[in-house]
Order: sequence, then C-alpha cells, then structure tokens
Amino acid sequence: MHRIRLRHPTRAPLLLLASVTLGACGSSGSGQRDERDAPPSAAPVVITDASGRAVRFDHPPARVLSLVPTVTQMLVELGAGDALVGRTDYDTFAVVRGLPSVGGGLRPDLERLLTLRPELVIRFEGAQDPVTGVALDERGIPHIAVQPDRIEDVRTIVRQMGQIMGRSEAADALVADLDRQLEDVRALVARAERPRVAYVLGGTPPWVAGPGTFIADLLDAAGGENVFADLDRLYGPVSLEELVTRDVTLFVVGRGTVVNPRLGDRAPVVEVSQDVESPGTGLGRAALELARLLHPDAFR
Amino acid sequence: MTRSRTTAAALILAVAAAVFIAVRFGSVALSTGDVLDALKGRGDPVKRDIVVGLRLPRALLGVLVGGGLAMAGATFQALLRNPLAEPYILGISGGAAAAAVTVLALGLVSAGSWVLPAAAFGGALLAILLVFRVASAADRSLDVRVLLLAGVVVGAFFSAMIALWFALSEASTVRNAVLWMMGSLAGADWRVVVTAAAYTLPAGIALIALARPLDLLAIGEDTATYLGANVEQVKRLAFGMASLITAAGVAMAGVIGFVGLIVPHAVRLVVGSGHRALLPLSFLAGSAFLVLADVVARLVIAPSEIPIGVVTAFAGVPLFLVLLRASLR
Repeated sequence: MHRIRLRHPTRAPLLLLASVTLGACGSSGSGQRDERDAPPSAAPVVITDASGRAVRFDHPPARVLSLVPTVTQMLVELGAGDALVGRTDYDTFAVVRGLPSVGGGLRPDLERLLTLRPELVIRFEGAQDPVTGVALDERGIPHIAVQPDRIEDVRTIVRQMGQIMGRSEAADALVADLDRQLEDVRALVARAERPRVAYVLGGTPPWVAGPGTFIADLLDAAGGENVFADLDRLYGPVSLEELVTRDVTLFVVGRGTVVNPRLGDRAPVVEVSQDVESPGTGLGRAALELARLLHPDAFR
Repeated sequence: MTRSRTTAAALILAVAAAVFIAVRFGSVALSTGDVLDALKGRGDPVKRDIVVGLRLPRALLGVLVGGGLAMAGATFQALLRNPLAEPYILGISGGAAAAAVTVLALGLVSAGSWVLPAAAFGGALLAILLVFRVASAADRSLDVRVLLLAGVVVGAFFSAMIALWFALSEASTVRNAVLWMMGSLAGADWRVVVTAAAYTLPAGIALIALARPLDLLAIGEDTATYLGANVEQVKRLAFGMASLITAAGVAMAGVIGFVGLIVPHAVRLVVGSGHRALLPLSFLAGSAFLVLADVVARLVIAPSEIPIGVVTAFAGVPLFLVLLRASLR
C-alpha cells in the first residue's frame, strides 16, 4: 500500500478541500521538491510500522514531527535533529525546546500540526488516539505508528528511523551501544542471586508491570525476577492482598509515585528515575540504575 | 409572537456570529483576511485546510449537536412533565457509553474510525428500545412515569457495565473511555457533519411539527386527549425523535452535559413554554451556546483542549441562575 507521495506534499490537502467543499476543482501537480533534497545515496525504503501499514520513502523527509518523546530523542541522537519541525509539551530537552509545540502526543492540535507542514509524523499506535492517524491519511501526510512495548521494539524503532532518515549506520551504532550497555549490566549481575521485584506504577488498587513490557525486560537484564511475570496483560491492577502476600524482596516505583504505605511494611520501596519508564535509548542507563539498586554489592 | 420573532432573529445572528468566531479563532493565529480567503477557496493550502477542513466542520457539528441536545431536552421536559429531564435521562448516554467502552476494551476500534460512533449509536438505540419496551404497557400505551423510572434504571445498569469494563481493561482503554465520555467535538470532519445532519435535521423538523400536541401533553395527558390529540402516537413519536437526535449527538461527540437541561429552560424564560417557538429557538440557542463553548474549550490552554463539558457547566450554570433570578422579579 504505497499511499505516500512525498513528491507532492501539498497536493493531498488540496484534493481533500476540492472534493469536499468546492466540487471538481482539480489540482495541478504543484509542489515538486528540489532534487537536491534527496541525498544521492538514499534508495527508496519501505517501512512496516506498528499498525501494519507499509509506508514508502523515496528520500529522507526534510520536515519531521515526532509525537512520541522517546522517538524525538532518538532522532536527535541519530543526528537527524535538524529535520524536526515541532515537538510536544513533553519534549523539554534543550535541543528541541525552541520548537513550536502541538500540545500532547496523543490527540495533538491539528491546526498547529498542519501549519508545521510535516513530511513525516511519528505517532503512538493504538486506540488512545483514533483521530490523528485518520486526519493525516485524509491529507496524505505520511505517518509512522510506533508501539514500544519491549526493548526489542525500541531496537526496531531506532533502525526504522535510521532507514527513513538515511542514517542507518548511526542507528546500528545506537542499537549496538544499547545492547552493549545491557550486556555489561547482565555480565555484572550474572552470578548474583536474583531478588524478587514488583514494579508498581501507583494507583488504587496499585498497577504493576507484567510480562512482555520493557520494564520486565529491564528487570531481567538488571538481574531481578518480576514477581508479576504471570500477569495476563502488560500493565494491570492487582489487589493489595496479592501485593503483600506474594514473596517480594523489593518494590520499585517511578520517582514521585504514591503507593500504599502498607507495601513498605513488607519490603523496601525504592524510587527510580524517569529513564526506567521511557522506552527509548536511555534504557541502557535505566538497566544500570536498576542493577545498582538490586545488586549494590556487585558495584562495590 | 413578536417577542419570539425578535428572539429568533437575535438567535440566528448569534449562531452566525458563533460560527464565524469558531472559524476565525483557533490555536493557530490567522487573520480575518486569511479566513475569508480560505472560505472562498483561495490562499495558502494549509490555512485553507485549517479553516475549511478543521474549523468549519467542527463549528457545524457544534451547531447540530448543541441544537439537537437543546431541542431533545425541551421535548423530554414536556414528554416526561419533569423540569429536570434532559436528553440523557432515559439511559441513552449510558447505552452509548457502555457500547463505546466495550469496543474500546475489546480493541475493535482499530478496524476504522467509524467503529466507535457506530457502536455508540447502536448502544444508544439499544437503550432506547429497552426503555421503550419496559414502559409500553399491555395495551400499548406509554406510561411516562414508568418511562422515566425505566430510563434511570437502564442507565444505572449500563454504568455498572462500564465500571466492570474499567476494572478489566488496560489503563489506556480506561483513559480513552473517560475522554470519550467527557464529550468533545474534536472528531469533527465533513463526513461526521453530514451523518449528524442526516439524523438531527429530519428528526428536529418532525419534533417541530409535533409542537401543538406537545403543548397539550405538557398540560396533562387527559386534557390532551379531551382536546383531540392522539396522545399515544405523540408520545411515541416525540420519544423516538428526541432519542434519535440524542443518539446521533452522543455517537458523534460523546456525552456533553448541561446544554440539553439548561438551554430549554433559559429559552422558556424568555419566550414562554409554547413549543412552536420553544423548540426551534432552543435549537438556535443550543447551537450558539455549544459552538462558543467549544471555542473556549479549544483556546484556554491551546494547543491542548479542556473538556467541552467543563465549559458548558462553568458558563451555563451561572448564566442559567441569573436568568432564573431575573424571572422571579
């Protein structure tokens, strides 16, 4: 399904307007891009995104809007930060702070989004935002959906961004970097006994991280055993009884998370940084942070 | 009648002004010239898309949903002879929301953007049918007291169903469902506007045609019968049409509170309770009110939005109290 025509970035909105409001008005094939925009080495790439759509790129898009903060970070690290034309309210790091915001990453403000004239939008896959994908399709603006559930998904997204932006080598290096960091952590804690850890996201009843999540992957890499490896979904609520009767060595929570004080009677409750809840290239750092908490002896 | 004529003229102007304001202002600053160019199909394509592809359908959806809710509210208040009646009182919002949450929880919404509104519409129709069947006695007469009770109970049942889904679902599903239930015009595009119009306008015209029998019904069923109204038919038609309008509104924009309760009362305070004036004027007032409320919802924390129900309550309640106070003097 090659619905993407990067050569005519302005044509689809014209067509939409014409068909909807003005009747047959036609659209001249204006809006050709300069040939110099296409690096000579870039061959067309086809990316299958998390929603299963195949999207074709004849050359790297010059104007990119990422609605997914971890992907925004990735693009900067890949050296493609110059292509970013906007950000969300959640992207506050120095490189992108000066860019105009489109609001939240889910259901962003479409007026501002259109004004940025993106040639590629990166968005969250899933029912959380049923509006944006449809609106972009109607206007012929290419978009890639991502769903970083596991660490493996993060690797895939980095590689895909590398392919799209014509920076595959940088992407491979970034993935290799992440893998090396994870391997180093694994090696450090390989011989240690594995403590039983529950990752609690807060809420009443408390929500925990189940199997198939990047948090479970991180716990594994950091030498821990996820107490809720038997949860029937990625994240879900569990009763307080369940939490206090299971054999738990350590409760791990994100910084600032409020949990029921009873948990602290059973096992220590420790806070970790935002890295642990951000499925991006900071996962190597996150694994190290968790390992230090779970195995303080290994770092003496 | 002159009073309703003047009010009608003022409200038509208000609707036109509201739509213009809605098209003129948004999170992206455009000049009046840009907007006029866009409406004429000229100028920068992105600006045209913002005005004609985003703002105009959203304003028109506001006209249809706001007007429809106000008119349905006025009808239910007459039909149930209860000033607290509003479009959602008979379980329609509960049915729509339960169906919407069900498709969200089962992950069915990825099949297409039509799934959620279609499910909500189906759920609303199911609730309407359930309530109607319960309230229809053996002799096929419709007891409005039973109708009200059945509506409230059916609504409570659907609320429980929603709570059950919440307990069983992923956090993201719960978040989506709550967002949907708070109501929003953000899903507006031209297809949505056309669909909403296809239900709201014919049903609205049918209701206006029922104005005189509704006047009689508001006095009392016995009186209406003596005065020659086919009471059972009027009740069924009024219930059906007002429900259909509400169902279409809920399907396209979720549950938006206060419009259907407050606007008919406000209009009644100005022009009296004759339905020939009350119904069309409620439509106009509801339209202008909701379109303006949406402008506020879009602008206060742009580029993000606040729920439109917050605006309708914050603006509608004080406005209503002032009108109420004035009517007592």
